[in-house]
Amino acid sequence: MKLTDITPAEWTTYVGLLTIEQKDLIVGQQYTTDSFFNPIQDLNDNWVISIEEMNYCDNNDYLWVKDLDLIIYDPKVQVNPF
Amino acid sequence: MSYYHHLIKSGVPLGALTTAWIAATSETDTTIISALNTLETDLTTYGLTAKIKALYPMVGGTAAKHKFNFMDARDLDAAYRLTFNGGWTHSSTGALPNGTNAYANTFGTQASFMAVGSGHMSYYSRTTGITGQNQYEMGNYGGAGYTTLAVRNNDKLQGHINSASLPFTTANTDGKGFYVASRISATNLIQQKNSTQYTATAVEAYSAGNIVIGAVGTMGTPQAWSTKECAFASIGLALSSTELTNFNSAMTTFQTTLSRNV
Repeated sequence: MKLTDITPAEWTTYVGLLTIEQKDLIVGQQYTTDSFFNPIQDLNDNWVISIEEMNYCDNNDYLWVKDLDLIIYDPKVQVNPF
Repeated sequence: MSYYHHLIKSGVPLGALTTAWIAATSETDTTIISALNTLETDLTTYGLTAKIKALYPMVGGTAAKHKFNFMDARDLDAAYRLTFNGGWTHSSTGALPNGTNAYANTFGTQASFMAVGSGHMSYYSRTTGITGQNQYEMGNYGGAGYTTLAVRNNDKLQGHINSASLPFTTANTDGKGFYVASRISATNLIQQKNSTQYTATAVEAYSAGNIVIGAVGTMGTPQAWSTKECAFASIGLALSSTELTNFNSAMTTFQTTLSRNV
């Protein structure tokens, strides 16, 4: 599944799947003006980015993120520190 | 330039902070400029200007404009200019974090903005939220204490400024509104939602790490990602009960002028 296959209502359901090499390429880089990639790991330790980062990316160096395969986002279980 | 036309038409001179913000953002929208100028006037009238160290009006519709601290509109970490990380959606109504990996770094710790027995954070949320969400809208924790503001975390408003523990919670099932947490002494806190205030005691203990918006900062990765659209946020020294009332009045005027009040 690709970015073009989902609707805005499904943005929170999916994330873009990265390889470790791709994660290293984009971490700390701007996907659009004054907005930076923030790859995170899901429950299965996959590196992923959000649909917003993929959809709003207009940095020519990283337009390839628009072509990432999508997977359903399965967040790590957070222990409430509070 | 249009803001000069605005100045001529309205007959109201632009304040120094508004002028600096316009210079930083190249904003030309007269409604936004008018709203900011009125806000600046209100902050001066109410004696709040010196107490607010960082103020993010979230106007202009882009990250390039939302990032600026109205109190010091330099494009520098030292001016507490935000950097947006992860998935944000920016629009005329504010900055919407995605609840997955979005946060904005202020580059300031509690010590950057606050003092002993004195501190506040505020957040204007345009999102209702749903039951069961574990979300924090801004702050940090680590070290000995918590400086955290959650407008509807598991249906509770939780506002803490350098608190050793988190006993102070107020039931809240609608995340929309203007929220402030203010530490007014070594033991006393005030939480405010719109015009309603709640007081409680919490022993002071200092948090560590950078304060972030859209999640809660930690000594490592931010946590408790928010989905509440931010239409304003501020950080600074304590605001008294009267000052909080006046701050809410100024905020109502500001958001109403921008046609995005909730």
